Amino acid sequence: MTSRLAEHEHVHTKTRSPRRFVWLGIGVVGIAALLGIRALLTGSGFSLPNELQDLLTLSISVVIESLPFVILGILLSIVVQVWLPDGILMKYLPRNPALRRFCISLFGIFLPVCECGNVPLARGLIVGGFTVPESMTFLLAAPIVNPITIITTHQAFGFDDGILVARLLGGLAIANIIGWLFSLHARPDALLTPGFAAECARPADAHHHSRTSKSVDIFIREASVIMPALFIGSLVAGAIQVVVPRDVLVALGSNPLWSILAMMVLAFVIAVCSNVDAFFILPFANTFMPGSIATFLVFGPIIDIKMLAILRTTFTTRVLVQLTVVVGLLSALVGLVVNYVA
Amino acid sequence: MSPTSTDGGRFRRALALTVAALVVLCGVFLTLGYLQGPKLSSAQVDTRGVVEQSGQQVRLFANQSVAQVTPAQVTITPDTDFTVSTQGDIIAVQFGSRLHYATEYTVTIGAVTSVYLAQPSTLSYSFTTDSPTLYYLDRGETSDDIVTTGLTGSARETVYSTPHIQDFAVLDEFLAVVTLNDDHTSTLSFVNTETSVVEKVRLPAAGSISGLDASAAGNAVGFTLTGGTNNSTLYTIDLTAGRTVKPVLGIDGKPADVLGWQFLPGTGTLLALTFDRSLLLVDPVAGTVSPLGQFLGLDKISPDGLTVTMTDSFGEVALTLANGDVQRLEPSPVDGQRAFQGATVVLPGGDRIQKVVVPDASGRRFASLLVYDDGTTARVLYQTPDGTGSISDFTVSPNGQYVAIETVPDASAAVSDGYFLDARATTVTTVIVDVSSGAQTRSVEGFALKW
Repeated sequence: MTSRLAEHEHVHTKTRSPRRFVWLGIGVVGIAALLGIRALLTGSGFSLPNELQDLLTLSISVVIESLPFVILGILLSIVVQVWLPDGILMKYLPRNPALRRFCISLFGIFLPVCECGNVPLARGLIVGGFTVPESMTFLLAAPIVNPITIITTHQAFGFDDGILVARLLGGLAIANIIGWLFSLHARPDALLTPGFAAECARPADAHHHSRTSKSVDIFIREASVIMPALFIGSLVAGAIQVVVPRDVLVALGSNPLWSILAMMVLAFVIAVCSNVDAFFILPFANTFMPGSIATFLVFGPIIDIKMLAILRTTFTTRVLVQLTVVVGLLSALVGLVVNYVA
Repeated sequence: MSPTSTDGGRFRRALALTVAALVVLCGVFLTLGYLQGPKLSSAQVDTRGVVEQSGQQVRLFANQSVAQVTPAQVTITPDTDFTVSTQGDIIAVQFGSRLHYATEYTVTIGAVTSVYLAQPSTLSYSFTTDSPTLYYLDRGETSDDIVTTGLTGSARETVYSTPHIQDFAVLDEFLAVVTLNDDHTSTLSFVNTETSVVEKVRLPAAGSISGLDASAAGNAVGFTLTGGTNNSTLYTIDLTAGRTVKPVLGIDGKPADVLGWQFLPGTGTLLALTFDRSLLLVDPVAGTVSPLGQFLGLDKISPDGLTVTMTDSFGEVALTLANGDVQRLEPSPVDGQRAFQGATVVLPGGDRIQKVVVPDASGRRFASLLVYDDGTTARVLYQTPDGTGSISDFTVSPNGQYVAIETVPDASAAVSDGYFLDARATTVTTVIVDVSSGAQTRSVEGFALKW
């Protein structure tokens, strides 16, 4: 991938440029402000209007559950880019593209990181030499096949109605189909935003920094990109939950089609982390058909408001639209099959 | 066309084909889903609870919210009374009475539709109820055994063995065992059935114990104590609150001295008949006491705990606990012969199982029988071989399916085991009879059988 991206114009973007610090500041200050307002309000006797209070609570909940994984994802990304020997991951992967993507889709088993944390790691993989489709395959599968997600889904549903199996197999299938589809693209680098493509194109030894310095650079770079996206994504997710009554979604739960669509909308809006989404959706299991629950658990970790905001740091809008359509249809199909078979 | 545009076209074509194929597949499975109707995802039933208590449920979980199910849609085989309710994707069928032991039940619900679609389907679920573990006391030459066995077969296992067992009761994790001492006093012990650890209970005074009984939940035990200042004084031990022996207080707030007492089936409350012939309903935990009338004797409580047979000056009566109604019980003739009534259990529905005595053809000898009396005719459930034996006691299983009959085959040749309390003939035998058919399913050498 690096060699292909090297065809790009060599852009000398300074990692520690003032612009990056501004974005990092927006992200950090924004998230700190959310938490700070909440802390100040607690016990002060002053209360916000209910809607604003809900917005604050819902946004903070998204931030709290995502932030540790974002940090962990950035750290893993640094390990992949700086500390692992060059090409070590590539060395043991099969040469056959489909097999290679399948192996990559299983990486998540060893990485207990939810979807937000996987974005910086996927970015790191691209910088580290993976192709864009390979990185996408990892990105889509990892939040579903990661061990914490498997354990929490099993805790919530056991093996009832095949929901756990459908989630695992469906997630792997979607990731590999998307990987295959985008591997047919003539110019994979065109799938990336120009800014990130430029990051990838920068030669690895451009500044001859020490590993520690490089690690700090990468942390600042990734944090400045991901943190604002997380802040804005969590705000939007909270706002939509306040505006859209949940009762409306629940009322649709028993219709084979509407239940699946409702769950996809719910997953998109709620933007809950894949590590805990099974517990979130468990109370709905009595109302919604099992297929729609499976759809929620497959679609949510890949496509939601927060993820799209974070993915937009890496992929073009066109790619995200294509990704959303195909993942949406595949998730719906998983749900419909579960409804028919279970 | 340049290679790049060809490759770009390949991606676009693959994307379009993928989307089209997925739309078609979604359409196919959506149609199949619409045509299928609701399906059974899982079901829950306590196969032990349904034979021990009435009002138990089997819950069928559909794969989607279903429209209200009416009783007309539900069929249960073997037939039993039930009610049905629907909430979301759960259809709950509640049994009106206890189910039979070791029996396969099938619940079938026809014409089930989802709340959205009229496509009907049939949900069916089968389960087999538990067979009870029976406990009984087998007195031996040197040591007495508390034995477990089943309804059928000949397998038996001794769970506790010690000399001079007077009586026992089965609790949740323990056996309460009363043993006789050489000084004619009793000792009450709790025996852990898992570890065999024996824990002696410190009684309020040395004395003899009678009328040991355990609550249905298996967490309380009661007995009467005679000795010291106690004169058949009723005590209980709430095992959830330690091992403290507490007297049951009567209406006057003093420890109640009783002629007889029993826990009500399925509850922690008890009935006690005091020395002044007052029948009391007592909740030992809450400390509430309700008088239910004056009677001469307390006989047996129905398996559902709603009716108790009492004796008054004129014979046996059935007392309905809910409203205090009293109905005199007259035994129906047995094969045209007049019967004289003994102990009686009223079954749910009003039929009864009772011990009767009838004269033989000569009119000079009497035979002891156990009969099923529906109020007009009496059907013999058990009589001893050649009519020479005696029936000393009987207990109806909690679901009313079986009756365990304590009998001495040849009363004239019986030899007592010599126990100074609760003595039995050395030939005492317990026979288990199927109430509906009168068939004898099992007999064991022993007595005090606990269901």
